[in-house]
Amino acid sequence: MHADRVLARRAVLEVTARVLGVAFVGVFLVAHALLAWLSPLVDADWAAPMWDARFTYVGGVRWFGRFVADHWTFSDLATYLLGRLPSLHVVASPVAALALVLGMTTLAFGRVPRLRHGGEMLMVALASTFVWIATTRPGVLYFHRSSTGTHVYAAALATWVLAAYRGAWRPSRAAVIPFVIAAFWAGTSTRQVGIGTAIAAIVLLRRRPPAERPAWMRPATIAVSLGAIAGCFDAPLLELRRVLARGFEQNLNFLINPLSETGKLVSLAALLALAKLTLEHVWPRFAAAPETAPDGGADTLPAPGVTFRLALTAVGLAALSLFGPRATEVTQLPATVVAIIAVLPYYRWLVASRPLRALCVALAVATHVVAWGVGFTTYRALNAEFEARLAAIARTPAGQVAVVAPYAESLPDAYRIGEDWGSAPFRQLLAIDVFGLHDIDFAPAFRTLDPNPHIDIRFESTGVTSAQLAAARAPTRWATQPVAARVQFKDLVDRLEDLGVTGFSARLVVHGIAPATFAGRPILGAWYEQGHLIAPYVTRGNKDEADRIPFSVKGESKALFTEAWILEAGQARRAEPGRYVYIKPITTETQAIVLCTTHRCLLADAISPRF
Amino acid sequence: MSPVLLDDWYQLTWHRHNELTLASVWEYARYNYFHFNPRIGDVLLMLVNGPPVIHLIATPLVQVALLWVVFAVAFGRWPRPTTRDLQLLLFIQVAIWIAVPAPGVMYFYRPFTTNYLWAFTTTLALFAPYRIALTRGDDRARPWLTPVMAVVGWLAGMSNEHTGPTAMVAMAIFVGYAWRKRRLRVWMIAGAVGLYLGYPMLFLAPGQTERYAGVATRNTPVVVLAERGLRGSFDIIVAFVGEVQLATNLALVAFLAYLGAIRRRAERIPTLPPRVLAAIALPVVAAGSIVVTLFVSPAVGERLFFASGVLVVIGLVVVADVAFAERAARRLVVGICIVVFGYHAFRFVYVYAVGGRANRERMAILAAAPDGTTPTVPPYKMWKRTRWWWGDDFRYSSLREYVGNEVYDVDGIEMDRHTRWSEPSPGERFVATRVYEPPLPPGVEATIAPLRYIPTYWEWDLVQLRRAIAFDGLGEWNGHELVRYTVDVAGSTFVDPKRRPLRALEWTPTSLGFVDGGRLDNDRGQPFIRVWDVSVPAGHIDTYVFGCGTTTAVETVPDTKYQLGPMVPVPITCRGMYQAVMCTPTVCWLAGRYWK
Repeated sequence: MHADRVLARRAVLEVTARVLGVAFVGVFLVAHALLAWLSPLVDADWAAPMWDARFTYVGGVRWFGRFVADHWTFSDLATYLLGRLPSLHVVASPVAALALVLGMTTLAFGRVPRLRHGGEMLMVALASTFVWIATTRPGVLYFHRSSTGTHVYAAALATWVLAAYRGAWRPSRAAVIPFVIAAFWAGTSTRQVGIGTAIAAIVLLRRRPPAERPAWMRPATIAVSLGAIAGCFDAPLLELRRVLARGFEQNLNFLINPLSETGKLVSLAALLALAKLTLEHVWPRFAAAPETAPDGGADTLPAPGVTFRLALTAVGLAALSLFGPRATEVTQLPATVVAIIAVLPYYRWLVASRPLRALCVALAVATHVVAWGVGFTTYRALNAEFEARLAAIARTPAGQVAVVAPYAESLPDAYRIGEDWGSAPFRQLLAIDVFGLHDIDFAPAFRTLDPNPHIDIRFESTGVTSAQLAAARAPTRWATQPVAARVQFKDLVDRLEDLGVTGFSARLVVHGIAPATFAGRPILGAWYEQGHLIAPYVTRGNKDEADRIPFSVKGESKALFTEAWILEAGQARRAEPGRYVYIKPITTETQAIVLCTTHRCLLADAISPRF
Repeated sequence: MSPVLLDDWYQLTWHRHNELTLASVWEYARYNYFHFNPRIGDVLLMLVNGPPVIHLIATPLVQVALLWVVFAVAFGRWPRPTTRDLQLLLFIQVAIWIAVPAPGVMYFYRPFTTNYLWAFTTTLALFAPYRIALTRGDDRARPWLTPVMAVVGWLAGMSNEHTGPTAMVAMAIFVGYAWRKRRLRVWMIAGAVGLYLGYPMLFLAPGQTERYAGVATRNTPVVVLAERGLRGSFDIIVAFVGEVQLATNLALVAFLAYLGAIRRRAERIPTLPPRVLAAIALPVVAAGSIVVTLFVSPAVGERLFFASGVLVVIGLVVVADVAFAERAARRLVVGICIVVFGYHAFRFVYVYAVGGRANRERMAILAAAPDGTTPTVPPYKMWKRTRWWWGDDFRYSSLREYVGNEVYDVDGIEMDRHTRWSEPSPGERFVATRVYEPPLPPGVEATIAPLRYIPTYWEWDLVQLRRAIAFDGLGEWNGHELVRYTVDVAGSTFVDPKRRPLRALEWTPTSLGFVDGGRLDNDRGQPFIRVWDVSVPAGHIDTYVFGCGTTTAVETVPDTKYQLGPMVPVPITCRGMYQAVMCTPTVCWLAGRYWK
């Protein structure tokens, strides 16, 4: 009788666990799909439609070749597809997020979590909880297309590739080639994921005796390593100089953020461990949960050496992220993933105590309810603002300037990128390339708005016919912001060359700026002569301590320019020679930077300051 | 090497005008208690800003004493001259430095050092005898300890608003435990009485309501909690957990190494005895309790995390002590501690050598400036606030004005170049008018409590007025009583179409008039001056903003987010100072400043 009751109770528990497991997975997918659906296109998401607009002049195989050349890494491909296909974000991103959570749990325990096992599903739920807790901007990570395509998809793929290594899975022969391709893609995804996966794959391969290695392991290891190496040479390259220039302490400060974010999990585990040990003393009968005892004994804790190694790996991945090309909160995901994998086994030990298990269940439920709830209210409001913005654009006649409202929250937070159309060149290129407008303006203005300086820039060419220009999709409207106009010009020259047009010259002529100081030298936005394109990349830095904005010219052509001038209120003054040219806005008057050779001048950039 | 920074300057003014005697210290403490910062730390600050020998001897002693009392509270005994105890003291010091925010500022910026480090050392010193006596089973009466504990208890109570409640609860637990065990002694009761007297004295001090022009009366605990909400309160916990994270990791590294060593020998992991668990858990609970107290505190972070951080370290050093039983753990963690200690020591010395020199050079420039001039000084190269250094305190225009006039007898101080972070001077003059009843004979008024200058910030006008009344007899002269004191703005670029006077402050013995506005950027980063609604002048009809050579009439917008008061939009057309003005039909009031 007693045995029957125990068996019946176990069966009930299994059914309950399975129902809860399925419910968690279902709710997870639905919630993420809903939030992905509400999440608007922002920031780098616009790269996909802008790329499409740029390459409408070619088709078929040439288009495909160009596409592959620009999107050969896994992250680039995923990001493009998510930006291009809204439904893909709704369908695939929740699956990728779930795959990441399951992948972390699989790696932490060495086996795929089972739906019918309550303890294992609790670990899955905690893994998901920890992503929300230990990342600074979880909403952006999961629902901003570019971030999720770059980081979540990559991390999910990498965890499953490594899970196969850890479990020495033996897939069918037909699955080996796709698996090797997946390994290559994992290597190409991001530098942290690629390098981290490659090193982990090599370590796991070497730890397994040759006789026990599945056949796919060696080719997959080569593939992931090649992918990682190739990914390192994909532009933009590692920024060693910038990291060294920052100095030791500044780099340490950058590492503090991921450390304190993931540290929350460590602190929580430490507090729970203290509670568990205390409860075992003061409340021994209630503290233990007999049915999970086999998983919860102290002997099931991982070897401290493993934890140390994983902790060092997390620190290494966080440090690697300093080398760019971008170091933001979301680039810390790989380090966070490793940290979660390191701490999960300790939580399995902790939840063997019944009160702590209840606490962890409550934590998981509360975290998801709050995170998804906040996400829903945030993205619903943001989506409404985005739709209003698109409606205003749709109402604006082609070639005109659309006026839109800025997002109510212009600063970034855990869920939002913030106002993404602040930059004048980006905004005007988007208006021209994607929406067929001349520009987009804001009413009311906001702090980070970079107003368009409205420079009269016109295109002139010789040796190229109207038909050739039309075939190359020459812009019908040129930007009034010098950097944006230069991008248009460079793209046009690329397209003309791509179409086989030779022997032509072209230039962007700036009108309305002709101080006597330049002694008759023309001011151009860019030029192309005898096969040489002079359209340098001009960067604008952050304001320095003295409120000066630094501008610098990148590329070989910067050596051509021997003079630098600053134009303001119709007057020109010589800029100090140096690596940067500085503008120090005092009023809202438009200021421009002009670089000159002996024969002509280049309008490098122009700003209309706002305070 | 530690420089004179920010609040230190106010103490220099006091020392400039007063001899350091018991009577003058009492007078200072009394004024502070009734009109300004009633904490005992502010009196200590005045002392360490006096003869340098006090700071040079007392501050390092207190800093070292902190290690001793932390050790005593953690282990229930004083440290002994053994290698193990030295290792634990090293762990404590390193853990404190990495657990508390901005250790350089906490240890070497005098106002923080005295108000927080000295203060919490005193609090722990109060508890150390209880912990030791109850751990040792030492039940001697020690009558000599009774007055000492009463004083230490009172000092601990007077130390900080946010640590007091937790200290009182902890004291109740200690005393209750001693009573139950029949080991309660008179000195224990004396310490408790001192604490239970000191804290209410601090919390209810009259100075709390006058300080910062009564900010405390506006920010009552209930108001603060309501404004902060669940999210803001949760953020405080997260911020604190983040601060103590490195120290927690250090202890966990020790414990993992300890577990690893035992596992390698295939031995069973020993269970932690209850007294060790309690020694870990109780300080952590106390730290959490202090952090929770901050939910109702108008200020949070950094210095207010010091006490909680030290309490967490007390729990962590007990973990470290357990782990140090294994040589591998001991060697690993002591090695890490030596490196971290060395790095901190190097950074402290380097930063304060560089910063101290810059500070001395600045003071030399100011000392050499002729009276009545406006000297310029270079900004500090280390102008940013870091974990080592406070930054450049002359970023505040009001401080430059104060230091120039009060310490160096010059008309003001300017930076020798424009910087993004330094507030420009307002560029106008304030004029004070006194009204006595019965009226004074002509020419007499100027002889009563003459003021060298009138600050161009109403908050400082009020401080100046209160001090002049308290110390210099401004409030009453030969039966003539001061019945009105007004401060108006002169030489302003404000153009009022109705030519009303522009007022900053109006005081009578029964009323206080000012408009309290502060700069605020909304969520879109648009500039505003938000005015505290209670201070909006009755009968307000017009609002203006002036700056950059123009005066613009504006309409206020409601503060929908925090509902603290109307927001005055600031139309910025160039860099500089903008000021809001709110007018009634008869007078205009300066309503806050915004600078770019």
